[in-house]
Amino acid sequence: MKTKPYLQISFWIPVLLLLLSIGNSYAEDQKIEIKKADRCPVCGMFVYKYPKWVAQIYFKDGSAYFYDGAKDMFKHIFNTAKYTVGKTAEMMTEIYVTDYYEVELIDAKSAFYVIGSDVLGPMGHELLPFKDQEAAQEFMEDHKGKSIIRYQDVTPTIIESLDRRE
Amino acid sequence: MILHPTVIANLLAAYISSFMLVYAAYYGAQILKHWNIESGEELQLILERKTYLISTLLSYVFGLQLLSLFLFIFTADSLTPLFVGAMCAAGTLNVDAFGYPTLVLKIVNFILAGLWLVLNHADNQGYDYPLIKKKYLLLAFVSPFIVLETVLESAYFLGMQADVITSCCGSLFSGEKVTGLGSEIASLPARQMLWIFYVAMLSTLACGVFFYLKDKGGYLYALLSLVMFIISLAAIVSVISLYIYELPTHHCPFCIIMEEYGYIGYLLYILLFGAVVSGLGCGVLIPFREVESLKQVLNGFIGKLTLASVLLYAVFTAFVTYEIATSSLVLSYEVVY
Repeated sequence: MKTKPYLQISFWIPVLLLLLSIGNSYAEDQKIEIKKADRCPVCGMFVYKYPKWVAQIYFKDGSAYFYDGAKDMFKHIFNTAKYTVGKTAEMMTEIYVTDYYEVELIDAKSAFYVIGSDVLGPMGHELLPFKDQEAAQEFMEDHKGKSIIRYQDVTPTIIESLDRRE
Repeated sequence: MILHPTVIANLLAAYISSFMLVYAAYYGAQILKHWNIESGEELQLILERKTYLISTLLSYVFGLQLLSLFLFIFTADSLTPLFVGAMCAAGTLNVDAFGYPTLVLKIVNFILAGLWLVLNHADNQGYDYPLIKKKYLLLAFVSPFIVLETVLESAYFLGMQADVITSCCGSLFSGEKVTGLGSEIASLPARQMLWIFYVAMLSTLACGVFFYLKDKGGYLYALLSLVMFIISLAAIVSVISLYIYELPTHHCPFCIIMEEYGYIGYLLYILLFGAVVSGLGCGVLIPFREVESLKQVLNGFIGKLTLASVLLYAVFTAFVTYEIATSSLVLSYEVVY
């Protein structure tokens, strides 16, 4: 009896994915697969619907949280105990954001964030993460961005101002 | 305007029911004015024949009205991907100023339409149209509300702009910013609210069972069922939703209707609305128990309504308790809301 074609395909897809994943950026190594049930702890949105905007935080105890944009991720960092009782920002081990052009996870602390642009995320105005200065600069010129900021420059005031813009 | 199939369905339903309602209300006014069962005049005979048409028509209109509340919520929920910032119906309703007023009117009209159906059913039990004036008086009272609802609903759907950045339910129902009704309810202390909910629910159920068995305290039960309805809605926002979402800060009453939560919200709301309509229905019918032609049948109908209401509230509580018991959320920490 001949094997059904879709069975063959369903065998080859994971193999293909495995091959593709080799040699990918270091963030992939310990990336936890986003499940359908995973929600942003800040706003409650289902994260799987917005793969291009995902941000992630890993804690010492191995727990991981996903966000539908860098904005909510920063809200969690600034107010960790409110959204995850019993945890503090010091207990975070790794923080990732998704590069807007490359659509891959990059280290949040070394990323360049464009604010004030005309590109909106699922939660409205966003910080758009890029892995290098050139990409951020190009995006800012193309999309009327206001400024490029680094991780340590982001303050609760900036996050609040993003929320308030209509 | 957004030409989404559900929007068209909503508007069509609203226009059809409003049109039929205005037609019915016109003849209702004639009946209120000229009805005289003793008379054998031509007008009276016409009215008697008309009333069958009208009450059949209205049964459908009000039945549609009951469904349209859920259709409206479903529509708001399914339009969510079209608006930036909206993650569920809460955001979509916030797109323009008419969303929430329409929803409030729809809830009020759901109850009024339900009560009219109860009254109509009771009237049809008697051979001499015993409640005919009361039922058309109620119709005259309900019609403006439903027409107003149609106007607001049209304004809401026709005025929708796709480029609006709306608010996500996380900010509309947040416990920290005490601005707006949603946030005020959300910031009610969760644990106390849970106590209030259970104590009030047990008293309501006890009163309902007492009324069903002993036939005393009917008005009290009708009142309690309305109060319980409001407490339950507040409890859903302030505490029950937390257990369903398993997030200590997410208070939205609309996300629970989504597929991801197994559509539990629709179930809870259907039980709740059914319970309040049948509970209030008892109160509406109690004064007519002495009417000659209804003496035999009305007590049985009131008993059925009471039983239905008590059972619906009990099942609602059972589902809520199940959600709380199986939730992994623990409220024992002193969370600052």
